Amino acid sequence: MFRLIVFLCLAAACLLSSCVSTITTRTEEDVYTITKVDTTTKDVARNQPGTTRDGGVIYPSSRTVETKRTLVQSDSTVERQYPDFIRLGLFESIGLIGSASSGKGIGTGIFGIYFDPLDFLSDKIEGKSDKIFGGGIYRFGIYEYRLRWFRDAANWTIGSSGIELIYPEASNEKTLMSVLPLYIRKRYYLREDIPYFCFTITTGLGFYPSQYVNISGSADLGSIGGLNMRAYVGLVAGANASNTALNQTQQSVTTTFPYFGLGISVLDFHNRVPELYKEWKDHEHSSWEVGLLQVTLLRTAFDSSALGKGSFPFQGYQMRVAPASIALPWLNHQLYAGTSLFNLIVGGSEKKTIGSGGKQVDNIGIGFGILPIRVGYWQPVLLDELSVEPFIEYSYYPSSIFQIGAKANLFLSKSFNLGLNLGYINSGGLDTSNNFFERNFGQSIGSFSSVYFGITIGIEDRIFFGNELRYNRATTN
Amino acid sequence: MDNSNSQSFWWGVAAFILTPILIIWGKNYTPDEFDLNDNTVSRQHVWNMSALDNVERIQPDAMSMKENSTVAIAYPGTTQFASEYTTTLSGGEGIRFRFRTTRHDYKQDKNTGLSFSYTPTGCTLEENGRTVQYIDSIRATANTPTRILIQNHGNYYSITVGCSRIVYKTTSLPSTEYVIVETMGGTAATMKDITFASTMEE
Repeated sequence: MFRLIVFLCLAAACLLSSCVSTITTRTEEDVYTITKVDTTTKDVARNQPGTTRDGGVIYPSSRTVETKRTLVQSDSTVERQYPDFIRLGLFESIGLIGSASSGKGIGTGIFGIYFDPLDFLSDKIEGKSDKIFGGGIYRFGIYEYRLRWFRDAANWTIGSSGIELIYPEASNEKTLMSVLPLYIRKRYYLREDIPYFCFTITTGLGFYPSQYVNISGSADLGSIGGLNMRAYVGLVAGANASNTALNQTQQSVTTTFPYFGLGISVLDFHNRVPELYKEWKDHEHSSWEVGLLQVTLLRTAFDSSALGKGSFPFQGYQMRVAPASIALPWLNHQLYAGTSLFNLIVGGSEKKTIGSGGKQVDNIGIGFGILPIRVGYWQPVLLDELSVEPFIEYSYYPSSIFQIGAKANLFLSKSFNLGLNLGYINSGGLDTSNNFFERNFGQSIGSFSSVYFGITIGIEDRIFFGNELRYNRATTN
Repeated sequence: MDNSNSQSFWWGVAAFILTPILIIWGKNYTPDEFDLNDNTVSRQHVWNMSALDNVERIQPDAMSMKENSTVAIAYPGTTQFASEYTTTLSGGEGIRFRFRTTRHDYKQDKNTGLSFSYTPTGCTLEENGRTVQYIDSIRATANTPTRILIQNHGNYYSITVGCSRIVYKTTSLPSTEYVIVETMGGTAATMKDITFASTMEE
């Protein structure tokens, strides 16, 4: 499961980043022909040989008049680039209520991504009876374009996603999956300022390998910093043919279930139609930073490195996937609230005694947080290139992690940046939702606390400058 | 290929071929745009900049416009051209042709470029919103087809109404690919025999 999701995330990211400008940008080009006309007149008076009198009106002196007209034309081409999508997203996750039959709930958590770590790492998910969110819907690589049918009726879109997975319950046969499902949506906006709030009616068709129809209505809030939240109500009806990847039996399996769901999506950007006519350079931004991946190599207080044997200067690492730091309307919008899809911290390795028998094991300090809460203060130092952000971050599931620190960011390009970190981490380690490790070993695994120094590489990680934030811009049309 | 494999194949075709085709169609479906003279080598692209029902292509080289409508006609890749329209007005305040501007510039400021207004009270020529010539002897007559010819060549431009060349001037404004046509209050227009031809010698 974990490997599948990581693979799908990476595949969607690669697909999006490789063709992102093609599918996201519309280019308009205007040609202006500039004409320069220059006229040169050469007037030569040459008296006839032997003439003793001056020229006049009656006997004009001989002359040569030469007029040259030159015309130079050059084309000046102006190119403007506009966004060309209503929605473009990396990942959406929805936790479903009411989709699972009794005793077969997955337990996906409120937004569908709070999997029990044991389920997440295993090939087979055990059904549970005590879970509210029994199923989940997952979309990778989402995109929607404006659909101007019905005489250009407003706010219709047509789109798809790289892959869509619908888990009504812990049962492979009833799981529906499709590559490139076709989705048509109609939105009704209640709030037309960022973050938008709208109701959306959706009809979707999945074709392969499962065949299904997904009809839903949702209340959507976002996007801001690429983050969106949605509440869904819908109905899915579909089938898995016999002897397919999802259904190994000899009978085809049909699945029909209504659902209520709460979802979240990251790196999921939403434009209204008027924004499609606003040039990229004039686009409004609400965040100090939005990115795909931040990898930090950590120097911690651990004895040895979790990255491998030897004297590697770093003991651990931190990975923040899809981080976002959204400017808040206080302290000149330099205060921000942030999160990430998940935050994995590996602090290092050390010998540790566990259990009552005094057994010594190699303990890797670890922390894993889904949608951690981060609050910080973004302070530009050298105009655009250098900024500092003191922050605190708290993860609540599956690990309880507290992190406080400061990070200096060096802007390299719109896709990459570097950072230096100094801070303190306290991780409660990793345990399952039923406290498997606590019950068996008397403690969760991987708990640690340490000060750290780190070097961060931001990949497809965009830092926005103060003057790019919409709050700091003059009102435009 | 057994039955289940065959079904699987066609569902795969639906996912990998039908979905992209439908999405590309949806993305590129633009009801406010059409081409003129698309049966010739000199094709023009038209953007309806008013309500969708206000402008209609009625023939490959003809279109109709309701009152208070605007279209931008582009002759892609050509800035030195003559454009001709056999225009029939229903009455009202007349019709206006703008050139040496672009669709984008027009959206920013309607007065940029040259404009030629053909009205029942005479013709007005403006440059960047400033009147440079007024001709009261040439007047639009309702329901009478009239040939209007606009020529651009270098810094010269000329306007011919019927058989009378009423304007022949120079301008410092750069020439562009666009002619923007506006119908004014109470005027519906039918424009036939729309022809664009390059005036640039190869």
